Amino acid sequence: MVYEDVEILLVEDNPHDVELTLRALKKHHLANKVHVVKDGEEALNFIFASGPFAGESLNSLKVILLDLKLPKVSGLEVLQKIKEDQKTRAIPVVCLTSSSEEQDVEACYKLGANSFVVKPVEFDAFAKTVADLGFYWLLVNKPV
Amino acid sequence: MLRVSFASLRSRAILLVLMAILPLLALTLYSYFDGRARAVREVQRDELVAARNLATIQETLIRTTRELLMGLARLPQVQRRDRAACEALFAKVLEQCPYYAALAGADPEGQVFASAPAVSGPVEVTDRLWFQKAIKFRDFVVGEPVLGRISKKYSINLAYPILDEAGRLQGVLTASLDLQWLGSLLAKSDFPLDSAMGLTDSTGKVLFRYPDPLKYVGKMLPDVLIQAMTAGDEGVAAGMGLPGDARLFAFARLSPPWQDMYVAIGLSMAWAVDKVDRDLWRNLIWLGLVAILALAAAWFGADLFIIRPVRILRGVTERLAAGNLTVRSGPDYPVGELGLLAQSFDQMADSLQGREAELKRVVAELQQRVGELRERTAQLEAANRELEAFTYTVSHDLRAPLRSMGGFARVLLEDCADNLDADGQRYLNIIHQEARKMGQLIDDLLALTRLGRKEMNLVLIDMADLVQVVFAELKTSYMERKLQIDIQPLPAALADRVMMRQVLANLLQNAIKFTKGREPALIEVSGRSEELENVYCVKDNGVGFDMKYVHKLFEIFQRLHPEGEYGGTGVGLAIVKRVIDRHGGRVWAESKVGEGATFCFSLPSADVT
Repeated sequence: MVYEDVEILLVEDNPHDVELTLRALKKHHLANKVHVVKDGEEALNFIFASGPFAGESLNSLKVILLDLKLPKVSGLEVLQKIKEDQKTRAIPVVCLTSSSEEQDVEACYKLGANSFVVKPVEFDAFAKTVADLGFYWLLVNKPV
Repeated sequence: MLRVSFASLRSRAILLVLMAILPLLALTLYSYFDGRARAVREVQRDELVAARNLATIQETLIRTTRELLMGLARLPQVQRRDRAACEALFAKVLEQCPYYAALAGADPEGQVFASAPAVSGPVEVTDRLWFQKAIKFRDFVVGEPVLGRISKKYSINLAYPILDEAGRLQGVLTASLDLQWLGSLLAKSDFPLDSAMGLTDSTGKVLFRYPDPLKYVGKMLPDVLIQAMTAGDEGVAAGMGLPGDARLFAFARLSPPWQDMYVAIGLSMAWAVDKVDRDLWRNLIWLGLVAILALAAAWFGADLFIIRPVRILRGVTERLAAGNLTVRSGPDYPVGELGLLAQSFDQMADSLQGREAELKRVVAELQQRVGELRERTAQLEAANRELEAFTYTVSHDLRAPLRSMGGFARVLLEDCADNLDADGQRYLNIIHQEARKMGQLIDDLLALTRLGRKEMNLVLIDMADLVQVVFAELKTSYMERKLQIDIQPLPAALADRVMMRQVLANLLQNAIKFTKGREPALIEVSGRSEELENVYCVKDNGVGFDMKYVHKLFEIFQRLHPEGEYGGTGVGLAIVKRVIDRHGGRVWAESKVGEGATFCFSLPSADVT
């Protein structure tokens, strides 16, 4: 797999959510440049081109959709690493979570997340949110 | 402090003794003055009797002397002026009658021809009043008291003319009444040595005084006595006597024809009241002794019977006050009230000790309870943390499968609609809707539990403005409904803005939900300020509810209407109640079926909180 075209990184451990997310993105023709990782460790490897991804060039990454509840390394830790690193801090990060627990919201913004989205249970709303996110970050919001 | 209070107790005892002695003193003085007055009266009475007696004696003497002189004047030897025979006769009379100082006869020329006692040389009496008066009146006359020329004694000469059978004057016979003798009668009485007897004329001039005639004859009696004499024939008086001391007097006038003569007696007041005065001093000394004894008894008795027990009790009290609850004043109690006081004190100490023990027990129990409570609190806190963690987990892990269920049901409907018949599509729709509802339920539950632990940030809120904002947001979800809202002026609230927003949202949403089918739906938000709280009400013209179930209204998962009709999870009003509870307010509702409902809540006034 070639990663240099990847524009959206989806960090999500729940395969069904992944599928639904991808379906929503696909509906809006955004799915072909998406890469999915299943946990925080893999996400970090991917973002920082380490481990299995050593030597890969990831300059094309436009947005990271980051689930907060992840195995191994939590979403908040991943977010912290991204925002701490000079090379990656400019990449927009959208936090995804199942609940609107306030400590999560606050923690995300404190760590420098660019947006925070509660994953709606309702499929239509979920699909719409995912699509909106894709559009917004890929097309509207020009990276600094 | 200690000394003063003891001195006070002691001085009170002494004061009591003095107060008891005072009437005794008054009584003593009263009886003294009374006795003194009585003694004076008695002495004066005795004096008066004596004066009367003396006056009577004097009168009798005069009268007897007249008889004697009349008899003598008829005797031949007297008629003859026989010197030797007369002198023998006179001497004999004189011998028998000690009250005569002298007897004498004088010829009409005033030469004494015979006398007893006998005189060696010639004696001339022409200058004497009695001689002149006897010759002039040719009758019995009484002369002035004078110092006798023959007797050399103070005496009164009584005279009678010697007349022969033809009535010619042959001379004058005289008898000298010895005033000294009369006075000596006084000396024989019970009167004191310094008492005096006097003869005076009616003007109060002293004619004779016994004793010491030379010193007083010719002087005037004291004025008090003269005044009394002008008031009556006899009487008593008191005042300064001629010797210059306080005296008691009595006087008696001689009967006519000698009424020009008074007998007066005086004696010293000091003697009269001597016994009374001595009694007074004796009584005063006794009283003084009694007083000293009583004072000493009060002084030492107060110490022994009052001050010492009080001091002991005080010492015990101080030790008790210092915290020694085992101290007692008994078991040896003084008799009387102080003993009762000491016993009461000990009872008090007993009860105090008992109470302290009880108190200690209660405190220990309380401390144990507090310990248990702390433990329990810690357990509860742990449980609460667990619950939070659980809630967090629920919110994530329950929603994920729901999302999948709902999502894939939807996917199925979209992608495989052709392979499903009508029932299949309906079932998938049901799955999709139920999944969505369960998601909503989870969201509501999370919101409810969040309210319990979220820290409140109290700020002053413009409620009318907030209602406006919340309603505007809600309205967008009900575009198909015709909603009218009337927001009246609302008092500002001191509350957590986020929570208050939730409360208003839930109440307004309720109002919107239950006015479904009303054209238009009328929602009125009103408020008022009361003394301690502000009240806010949301009123609608919806279906209302039966007041029978009002108590269930604010409980979680309680619904008064079938789920299909109005939707909702049964959590909204529970959230409202929890928020208002946390703010210290109240919630209530009123309604009639079909006539709309009013939901109200109160918040403590901003100035109260």
